[in-house]
Amino acid sequence: MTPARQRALGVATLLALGAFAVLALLISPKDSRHGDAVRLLYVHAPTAWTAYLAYVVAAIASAMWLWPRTRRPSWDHLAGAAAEFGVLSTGLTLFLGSVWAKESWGTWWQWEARLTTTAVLFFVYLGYLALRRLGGPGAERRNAIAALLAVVQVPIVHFSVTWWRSIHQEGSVFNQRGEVEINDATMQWALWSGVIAFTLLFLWCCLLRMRTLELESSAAETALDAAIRERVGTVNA
Amino acid sequence: MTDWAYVALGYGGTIVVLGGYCLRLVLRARQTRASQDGRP
Repeated sequence: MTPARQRALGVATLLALGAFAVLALLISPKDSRHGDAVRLLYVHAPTAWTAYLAYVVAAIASAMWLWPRTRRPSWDHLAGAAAEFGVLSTGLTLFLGSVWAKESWGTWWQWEARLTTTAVLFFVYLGYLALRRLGGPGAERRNAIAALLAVVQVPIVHFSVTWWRSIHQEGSVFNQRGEVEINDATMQWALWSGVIAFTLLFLWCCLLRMRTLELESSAAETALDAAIRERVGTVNA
Repeated sequence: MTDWAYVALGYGGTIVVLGGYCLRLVLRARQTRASQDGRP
């Protein structure tokens, strides 16, 4: 992506976040049960969505790296960039969910299926990021395999509310029958604008991080080449 | 805590975390580009 397009994406992201803030905090009405605290849902569900999206993108990029015909360093960089945003989103999902839980359940935390599987997801991907930092020979292959194994948790987290007994609601947007849980049109707009704004933010952050990873990788290669040349020069002399 | 206190806590935390991350990304990208160009 050209720098001009990336800047345009950044501007679109800022505009979408601004529109989301106005819809979520000013325009959308109070909920009959949760009052103004329902506004937390408009940011909690989008952060959970971007976490899922980020981990699936990381897994697809890892599969593309593993496939010999499509193997390019940029796939590994994309996997790293997406997983990093995913960890951040999962952390925010846990934090916002905890605030929401305190308001609606009267407690910050419950060891129930959705919360526990999300916490496990967070720590597993935190481990994945630590694994990426180890580097060394064969690091890309090891990272790609780890990302493909870790993504298995995404459906487990998503369906945990239906597979096990849980006090978490079935779904914030759709229930098990595929019906929309939120009936008010303005509330739905607030939620969808959050989903769009956070998706754009994910894309912008991912592209910027990927570009930085590419520059860092090429700088490391240049430094290695220079070190090898210097060493060979010393030996020959 | 009032409803708005929960909202302020949730949105405030999100802004701090995401804002901090975005700022770090932009600064790191600039720093990497500058070091590639040989600038301090």
